[in-house]
Amino acid sequence: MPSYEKSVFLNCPFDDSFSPLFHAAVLTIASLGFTPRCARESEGEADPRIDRIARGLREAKYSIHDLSRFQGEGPDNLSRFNMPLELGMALSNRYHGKVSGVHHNWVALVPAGFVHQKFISDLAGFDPPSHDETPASVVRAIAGWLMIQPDFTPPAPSPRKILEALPKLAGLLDEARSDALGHLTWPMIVKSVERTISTMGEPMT
Amino acid sequence: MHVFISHSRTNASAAFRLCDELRKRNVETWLDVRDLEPGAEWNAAVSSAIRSAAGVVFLIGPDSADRGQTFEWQQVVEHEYYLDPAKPLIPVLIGQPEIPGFLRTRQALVLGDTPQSCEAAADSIVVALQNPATGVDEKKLELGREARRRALESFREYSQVLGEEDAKRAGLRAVE
Repeated sequence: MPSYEKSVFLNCPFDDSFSPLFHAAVLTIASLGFTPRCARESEGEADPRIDRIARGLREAKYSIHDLSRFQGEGPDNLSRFNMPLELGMALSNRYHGKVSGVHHNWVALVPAGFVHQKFISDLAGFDPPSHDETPASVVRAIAGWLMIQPDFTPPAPSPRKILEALPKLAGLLDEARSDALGHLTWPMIVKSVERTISTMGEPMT
Repeated sequence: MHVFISHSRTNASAAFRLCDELRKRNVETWLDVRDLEPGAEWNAAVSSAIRSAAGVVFLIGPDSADRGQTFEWQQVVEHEYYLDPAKPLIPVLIGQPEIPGFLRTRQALVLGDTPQSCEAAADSIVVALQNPATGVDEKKLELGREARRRALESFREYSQVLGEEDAKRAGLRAVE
């Protein structure tokens, strides 16, 4: 299994409309020398989803939580609370780690425009990075956070290089989706990301 | 042109001392607590000061970086100033701090609490500013390349294990 120090647990929506951002996030994490992990890794296991997320968070020193979806959806205009709940689990790991010595660090990605101060004001004081629901802004936000962590080791591709590699990844994912009759599994995404990185060349600095 | 001094509030006095020594050596510095215009928006002003800087000195102490310093580090990374070979990034360590990853391959200076140590650090910063190409520690960079090879190998193994498990699951589904 990937090492604890190099594992980054990604907690974000998995639906089709978010998938370009999800794939950009996975490529960014892996390009920077970390191993992306997420709840989709254990899809098909019998354990409840929340148990699998708790396990994933325990196995990763870092976690990224997307809070960009905060508005009501569907006919009842309800918002989903899974992401904040799972962010709370990461926070708990961080505070517990200060006692146990098993460190965990997390970041929340919030919508642009400081609107998070209205719907999750307890994050005031953390200055969470924001994105505007474009892959470019997701790549920059994640790279900006991961590259300042002590477990990041240069050299690695720059955020610009990662962005330039996204069309290649999209092409490989299309092929994989087509081969799998439309259902893209986590192993297929990881394989496509690995193949994309192998074409990115040796970073200089 | 100025040199941007990135520091946390707990290292403010060290930052002022270093700025004084650099000024004696005709190096202009930009320090938020001193140079921010009244009423200016902090994030925008800091971002602009980093963008227009000839180099960045990172004072890194044993305490974790505060919000301000974290923002400054993120600016350097997100806007890729760290890739500019003409803009030296100079870590100056106080005690034995944890170094942010993106600075790990840079030649670091050490700042003690004596005036002599501060003078020596200022001298070294002047030299580093005049020779930006010498800012990267080649040995550390080679170690970094080796670490990257290992990380990518580990990622390949992870991908392979996932693929095998996926194939097993697909086989089981077919049997069912």
